[in-house]
Amino acid sequence: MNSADFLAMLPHLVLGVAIVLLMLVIAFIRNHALTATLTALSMLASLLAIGPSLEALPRQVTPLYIFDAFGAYFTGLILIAGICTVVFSYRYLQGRRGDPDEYYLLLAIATFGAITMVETTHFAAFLLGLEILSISLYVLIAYPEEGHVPLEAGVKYLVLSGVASTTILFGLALLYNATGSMAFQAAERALTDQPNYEVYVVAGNMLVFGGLAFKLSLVPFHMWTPDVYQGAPAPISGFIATVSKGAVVALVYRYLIGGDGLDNDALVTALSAIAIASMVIGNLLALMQRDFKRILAYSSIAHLGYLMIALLAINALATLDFAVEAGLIYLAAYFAMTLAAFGIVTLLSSSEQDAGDLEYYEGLFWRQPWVAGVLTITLLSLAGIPMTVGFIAKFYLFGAGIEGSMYTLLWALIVGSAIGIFYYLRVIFIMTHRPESTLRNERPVARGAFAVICLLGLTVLAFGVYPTPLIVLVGMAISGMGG
Amino acid sequence: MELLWLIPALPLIGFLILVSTQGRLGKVPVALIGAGSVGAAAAVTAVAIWEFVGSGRAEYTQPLWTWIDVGGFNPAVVLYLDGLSAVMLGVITGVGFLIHVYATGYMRDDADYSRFFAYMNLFVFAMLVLVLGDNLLVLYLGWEGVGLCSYLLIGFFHAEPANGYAARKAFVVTRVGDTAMALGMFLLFRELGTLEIQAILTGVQAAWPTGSTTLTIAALLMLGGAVGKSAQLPLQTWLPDAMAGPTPVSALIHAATMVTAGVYLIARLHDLYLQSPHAQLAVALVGLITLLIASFAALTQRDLKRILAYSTMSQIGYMFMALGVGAWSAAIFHLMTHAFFKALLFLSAGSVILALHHEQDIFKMGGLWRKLPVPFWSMVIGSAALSAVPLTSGFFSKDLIELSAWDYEFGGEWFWAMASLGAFLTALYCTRMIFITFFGEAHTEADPAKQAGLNMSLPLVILAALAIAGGWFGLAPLASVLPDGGVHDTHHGWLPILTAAVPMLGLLLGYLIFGTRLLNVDRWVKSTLGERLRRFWFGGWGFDTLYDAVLVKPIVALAGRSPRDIVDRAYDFIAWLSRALHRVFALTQTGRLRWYAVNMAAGVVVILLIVLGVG
Repeated sequence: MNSADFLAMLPHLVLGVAIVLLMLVIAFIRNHALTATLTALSMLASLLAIGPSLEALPRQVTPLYIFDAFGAYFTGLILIAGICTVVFSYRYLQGRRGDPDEYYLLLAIATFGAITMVETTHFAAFLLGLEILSISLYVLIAYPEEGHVPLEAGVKYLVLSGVASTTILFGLALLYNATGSMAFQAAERALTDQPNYEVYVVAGNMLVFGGLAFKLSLVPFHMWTPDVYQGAPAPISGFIATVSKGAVVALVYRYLIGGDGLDNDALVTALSAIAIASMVIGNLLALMQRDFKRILAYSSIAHLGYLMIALLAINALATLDFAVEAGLIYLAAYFAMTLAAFGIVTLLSSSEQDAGDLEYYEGLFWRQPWVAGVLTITLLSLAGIPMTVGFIAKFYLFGAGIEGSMYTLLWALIVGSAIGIFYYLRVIFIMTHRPESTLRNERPVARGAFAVICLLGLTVLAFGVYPTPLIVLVGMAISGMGG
Repeated sequence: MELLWLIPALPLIGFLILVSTQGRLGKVPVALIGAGSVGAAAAVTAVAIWEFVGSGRAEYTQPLWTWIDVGGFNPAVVLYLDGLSAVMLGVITGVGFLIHVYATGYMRDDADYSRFFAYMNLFVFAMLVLVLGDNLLVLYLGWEGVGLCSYLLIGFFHAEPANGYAARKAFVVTRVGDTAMALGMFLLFRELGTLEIQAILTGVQAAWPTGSTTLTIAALLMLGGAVGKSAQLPLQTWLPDAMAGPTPVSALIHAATMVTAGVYLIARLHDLYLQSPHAQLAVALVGLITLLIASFAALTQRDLKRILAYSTMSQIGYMFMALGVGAWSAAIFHLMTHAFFKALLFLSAGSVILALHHEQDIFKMGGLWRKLPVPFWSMVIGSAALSAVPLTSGFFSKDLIELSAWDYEFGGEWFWAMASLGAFLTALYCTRMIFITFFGEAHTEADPAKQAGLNMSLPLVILAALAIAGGWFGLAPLASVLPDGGVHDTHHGWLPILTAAVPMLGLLLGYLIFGTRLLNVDRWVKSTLGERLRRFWFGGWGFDTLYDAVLVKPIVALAGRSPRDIVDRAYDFIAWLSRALHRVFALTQTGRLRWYAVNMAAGVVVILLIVLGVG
């Protein structure tokens, strides 16, 4: 390792060191505000470290990691999501029983796991990152002391995530059997060198994708999603929906591009079926739902289904760039919308109960017009209405789908979006009801969380009208992709 | 010119400030922001036009950004400045600023002061986007934006249900036109593959032979949008009711700017109509018929603002006729002078109405000319320009239109004669309005203090000066944009003299009837035929009744007769199916861990079987 290696790894090193320091601080000083601020600052420092690190990119550091602009894009997204989650969590944990300090430590570790996942082209490193992320999440989901709901959600996630990891490991074993290597590129070489091993490669690939589909909550591996989102603290639900899924998407991209993982018709057919099922069933499940956190869970199932179009387009398109561009833009849009939505859930939650049931949103326009306004923008964006970033992102997906002639998937996208509009608009409709009963006893609005929500809402709107900066950023990430 | 983007941005900023403070600001800051933002835009406009004319360029484009770039569809947000948009910019920001200043006084007793200026600023922003857009998509954005603001401002006094009805009527009727326009845009995009206006204009000649059917359809669809927005036949019925809004709104939106957007649209797309003589003839006919119908209707109204509304309709009719007969520059010239004198007329009417405690019936006014000298003289000057009295601004523009009509290949003499009849009627209803409002006995006690502020009288004085002198200089920048090469006139001999004399006859007749009472027409008016005709014209030629009978009533009756009609069944079925599927899939969400795990395992197995089976 030389200095250029260290420079390339700077964001990761900063966060890693900060985690150790944070652990030491917690051992001596227990102060909620201090811990939260330190965590947010460490993530911010890591985010700022991306700037200087860019000049050393792309760079392979050990056989395990490749640091490049593509990874930096995801690292940036994940760190921003992490900072938002810290701000929301501070609001969420205020006035609750128990010690909040370790929560932030776990959050930082989970974030660290996610940003290592996006920089790897090797299965060993991938599994390491995935487990760092997942194990922190088990605890985070079950962190609140009161009630059994979070605990139940945590256990469900623990067991099912274990099943998924097992599937991935079994798939890896098959791939290793065929290729003798854990590097992503090995699978491709194996197919050309030793055609006899094809069955192992295909089956191995499928098992790996099955495990990853759990993390992305795609149908039929989706069933945990609503239960966990509903049971987990609202900021953590947002974190799972964005960070944990975003990191897996980065990984899938690297595997599909570097390892040519989609070079098999059967696999494409299977993944298309998964995508279509996710789009349609995800939206159908959300249709008559009365709990907003569950709605967001089903909506995330559908959105990941949409995103699969971009992933599958890699195979269908002559040029990779457009498919990757569409996916990266979609992911950024999804991050902003989802974080804003869960941020608002956090803001409206009392210290006894999360603002899950839709009755919390009744008459929100009359009680908290600004929050209702941002939520309206967010929901319209999730539905893909023009002038929001959700529309731009969906338009790119559509473009990619049409260029790849993937018409079945596009039909599913249209049907799914049409169903989606119903339940997104229903929430807006509920917010306009003038409340009949007396005003709900609400906590005063927290300034920090409120400011972050407004910023996210502004981002959704600004990138809907003027998406050029986002497109330029994504272009840089793609052109700077190494390995 | 580099600051072109600032012109629409300033009113937008004003709107954002006003809307985000939600009425917590005092009236003085609101007035400063509301009128100041438009004033600043006017100043930037003046500089930009000065530089533009000085540079001698034919056009200047300022690309701001590309919205999206997917699969060959890449609408860009580009601002486009040429002679045409420069004239529009000047009118919108200049006249708009004067009206905003006037409104700071007119609206001062209103509780929703801040909301009013927020809407007004949003309107100015949308209107500027409309005229600066280089792309039909951007133009359409502005087009819908001004429609929304028009809706919001017509219904501004929302406590009165009738105002809400008027606002909805305006919105729905213009929506008919907007739909036609959207279809026209789709057609143009399908045929030419672009929505950039300049690319369309150059592409039209290559794509279609003269008089091609597709082209005519596209041109007529765009005309549909224009007649809706500009209150021309057959979509004119909303404008008189739109007078429910505050008077500065009527002056800005329903006289000076928004209603002339249709004229701008057709002038902007002039190559479309040059290539399709039938569509152009349709434009001319729409204008001619509207101007006659509206003039007769104006002659019988009792409400001061409705007289002006019908008058606006007929003057826009002149503009449409001018576009139709190929006098492109004359149309835009008249658009500008009309903005000056009609804004003046509306604002002075507003002062009168305010002084009379919101009395709008002219037969309840009278004897006001000594008490309200500034509104009186303003209205006299405005009426003179409207009646095309020689040397006022309206004279130059309107006579140019009538003379150009004479040269039109399809029956130009008839167009000239009918337009002259319209000018005669215009002079007649102007004198009627002036004499009944300001002379004779006073029927209502006036309170001149209500309208005495300098912020209300100064805009009147400036607009009066413009109404007189605004036509003396012609419009040189238009020459490079429009095909007739700018404002000029080559007629000699008896025709111009006759054209100028006809309105004078109207004024004379009006003076004899309403001023001196030498000529008594009561016997005719009171006769059965006269009374019927009066009622018919008073109701705007019965179009409301007609549309009610032909469109509204049958649809309502049909809807009432079949609450569970067959068409709904299809949609009901979709809803039922979605709910049913939702219930089925919801059964899978049992909350049981073992069921979830089994499903995952089953999923993997099934997919493996598919993959290995197919592979």
